[in-house]
Amino acid sequence: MKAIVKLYLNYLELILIGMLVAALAITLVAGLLAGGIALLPALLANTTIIAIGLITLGRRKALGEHPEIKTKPFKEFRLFMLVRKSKIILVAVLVLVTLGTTYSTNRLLMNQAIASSGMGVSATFFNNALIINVLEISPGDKGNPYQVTAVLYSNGYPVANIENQSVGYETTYIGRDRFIVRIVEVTNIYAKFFVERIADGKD
Amino acid sequence: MDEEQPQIGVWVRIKSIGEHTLVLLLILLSIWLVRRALEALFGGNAKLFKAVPIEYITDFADCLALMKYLWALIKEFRR
Repeated sequence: MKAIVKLYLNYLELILIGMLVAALAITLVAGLLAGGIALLPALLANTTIIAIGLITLGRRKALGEHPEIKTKPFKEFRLFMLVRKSKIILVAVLVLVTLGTTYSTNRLLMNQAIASSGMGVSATFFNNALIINVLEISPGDKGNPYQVTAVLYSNGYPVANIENQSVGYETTYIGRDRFIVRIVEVTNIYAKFFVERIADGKD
Repeated sequence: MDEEQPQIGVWVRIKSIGEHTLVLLLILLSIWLVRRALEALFGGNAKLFKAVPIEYITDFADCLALMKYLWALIKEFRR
């Protein structure tokens, strides 16, 4: 039984390190692909990977000085703890800040969407939590060549209207969730809307 | 005496492989629990920053566990 527990801890350590490194690598790649605000967690992930790599370089030396660790569970973590305390705290803080920033940025991006709607073609957001139907696109003034008239609704909730508004117009709609809706582009055939979900409660 | 030695070796080998197999199953179960926790936190089929599926983290962990298991088997048969 003791041997199995020791073997399980051996596997577990590898898996924990692997998942941490995978999470950092995925944050880096996804952040670079997404761009914008996601670049911050990507930069933090990159810094954390480099910091962990630099500390790991001293692993072999530490193992040479403390060969008894080789047979103990959580060998890698024990070797890591032999490094200077200030460095460990730095890496721990970096890991926590990176994971926290990644979570909050991901949550923010998950609640933002852009979609277009034309005559007879609805724009749907967040799995039909909000639907926008463009009713009319009319000529506007000099600065804004087109204006849009549209209806916003969630199934089972009151309808709200956007009447003859152009790029930059912003309104709040409360349906299944609470949404901020902004017009980001209007052409003669479609209008593009940016939607941010403020409260994502279920009905 | 010489004929019995391989028999003992086989049983030791089977015991060791059995331990590794049991631990592999436990680890795969642990990874599955982590996967469910991530799904509860981010939603099913969620993508980090709408770009890379979050489940890749646990996929990578599955690969690592299987690779460690295979490496243990290879070491066992080379012993």
